[in-house]
Amino acid sequence: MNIQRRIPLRLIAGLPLLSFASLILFSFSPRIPWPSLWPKEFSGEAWSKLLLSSDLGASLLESVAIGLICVSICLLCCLPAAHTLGLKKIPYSNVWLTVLITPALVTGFGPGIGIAETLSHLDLTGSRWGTALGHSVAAYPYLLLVLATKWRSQGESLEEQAQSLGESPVKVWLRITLPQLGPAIGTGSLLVFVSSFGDYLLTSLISEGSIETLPLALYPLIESGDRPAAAAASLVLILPVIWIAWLSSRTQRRRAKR
Amino acid sequence: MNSIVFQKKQLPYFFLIPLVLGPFFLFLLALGSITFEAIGDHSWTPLLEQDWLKDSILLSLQISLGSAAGGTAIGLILCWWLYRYRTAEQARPWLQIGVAAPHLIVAVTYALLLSSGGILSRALGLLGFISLPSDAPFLPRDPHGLAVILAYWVKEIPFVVFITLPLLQGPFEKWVEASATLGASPFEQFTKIFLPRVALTTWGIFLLVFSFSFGSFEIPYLLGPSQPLVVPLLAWESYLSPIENENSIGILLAVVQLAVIIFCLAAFVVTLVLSKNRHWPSNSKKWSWPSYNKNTGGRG
Repeated sequence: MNIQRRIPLRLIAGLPLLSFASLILFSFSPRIPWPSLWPKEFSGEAWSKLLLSSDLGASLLESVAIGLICVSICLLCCLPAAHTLGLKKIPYSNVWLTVLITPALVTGFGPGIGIAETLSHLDLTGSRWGTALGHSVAAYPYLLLVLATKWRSQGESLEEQAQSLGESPVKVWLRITLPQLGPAIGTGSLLVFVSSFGDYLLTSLISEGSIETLPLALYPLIESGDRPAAAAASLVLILPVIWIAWLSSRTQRRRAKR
Repeated sequence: MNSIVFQKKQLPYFFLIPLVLGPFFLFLLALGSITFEAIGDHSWTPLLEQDWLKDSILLSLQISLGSAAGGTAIGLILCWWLYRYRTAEQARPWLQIGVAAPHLIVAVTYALLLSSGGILSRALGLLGFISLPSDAPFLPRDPHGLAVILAYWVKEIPFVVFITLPLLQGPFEKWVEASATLGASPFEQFTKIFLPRVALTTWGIFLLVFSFSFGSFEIPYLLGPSQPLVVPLLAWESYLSPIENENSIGILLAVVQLAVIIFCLAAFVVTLVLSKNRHWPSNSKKWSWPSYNKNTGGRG
C-alpha cells in the first residue's frame, strides 16, 4: 500500500526536482564530457553573463518591466469588472464571465497574429507599452477569474456593516476590501506576470525586433549551444512559478490547520 | 429620482467598461482583423497551391491528437490514483509547477534532459545501454514529433488532474464508499463510477488541449521536426517574412487555427446540449441512462 501511495507522488515530485537539478547543474558547468553526469569544473560565468552583461541583463530588465506594466493594465481593468461579476447581481453574470475569459481558451498563433495586426494598425507595435498591452489580452482572464471567484466566496457583508457604521467608501476599500482581497490579487497578479514573463510568440510578433525580452534572448542561446546561459536564464524564468506553488501550498496548509 | 435609480442600477455595468473596451475589445479586434483580412485582401490560392501544406497540417493534427489523447488518459489515471491513495494534497504544489510553467521552460528543460547531451543520454551511456549520444531515445526534432508530444504531456497531465480532482468531492465519495461496501473492485470503481463522473469534463479538456496543442508555438519551435514544419511555425515564419505574399500565408494559416478552435468549441457545445437528455450522476438523481420518453420529447 505504501509503495502504491509513493510511486505517483515520487513521479510527480521527481520530474520537477530532476529538472531543477539539471538546470542548476548545467548553469554552473560549461563542459561535461559525455557520458559523465558530473562536471570536472564549475563556473559562474553564465550567471555573471545573465546578471551583469549588458545584453542579457537588459533583456531580463525588459521582461520584468513589460511584466509589471502588463500586471498594472490587468489590475486596472479586472478589479472593477471582477467586483461587478463577483458581487453585483447583474443578469447573466456567469455568461458575462464566460465570455470575458474566452481569450484564455482561444490561444495560439492565430489570435497572436490578430493581436499583432491590430496593434500594428494602432501604431503600437515595437513599443514596450504595446507589447505589454498585447500580453494583457492573453493574461487578464486568469486575474479576472481569481478575483471574481474570491469576491463571490467572500461577499460584502463586512463592507456593508462598515458603511452602515459611517465609514467612507475609500476607507472601507482600503481597510476591509483590500486586505481581504490581498492574497487573491497577489496570486492573480503573479499568474499574469508569469504569463507575460515567459511569453515568446506574442513578443516576437509585436516587438518587431526592437524589443528583446529574456525568452527572445533564450532561443539564440540554445541554438548556439550556450547551454549554461540557457539553463541560467530558464531558472530565472521559472522562479515566479515556484513562488506561486510555494504561496499556494502555504495557503493550503493554513487552511488545513484552521 | 428616476434618473438616480437608473444610475444606481447601471453602475455595475460601468465597472465592466475598462475591461470590455480594453483588452477584451482588443481581443475581438484581433479576431476580426485576421478574419476580414482573410476574406478580403488575401487570396487563398497561394496557400492551397503549397505542397507542404498537407504534410504540415497532418503533422500538427497528429501531434495535437497524440498530446490531447495521451495527456488526458494519463491525467485521468493519475487523478484516480491520487484520489484513491489520498495523496492529492501532497501532489498539489508539484502539479501547480507543471500547470504554471511557461512552455518555453518546459521545452528548454526537455532539451537539457533528453537531448543527445542530456541527462538521459548520459545515464544510458554510463549504464552501457548506448554507445553514442545520438542513440538515446526521445531525442528532440524527431520526424514524428514524439518529443513535442512528450513535452506537451508535462503541461497537460497536471492540468487534467487539476480540473478533474474537484469533481471527486461530495457525492462522489459516497458512491465510492457505497460501491466498496458492496464489493466493487478498484477497477470497477474506476470504470463505472470515476469515468462516468468525469466523462463530460474530460471531453471538454480533450478538446481544449487539442485546440491548444494545434496552435501552440514554443514547444514545436524548440523540439519539433524541421521538415515538415508544424502549422504554428509555418504561420510564424510566413507572417514575419519580408516577402508580402508569404506574409498573407501567415494570416491565412491563422484563420485555419481559428477554425480548429471554433470546431472544438462547437463540438463541446453540441455535447453539452446532447448530454442534457441524460442523467449525469448527482446528489438527487439516480445514476442511469434513461430511455426515450415520448411524452417529454426525450427528456428523462
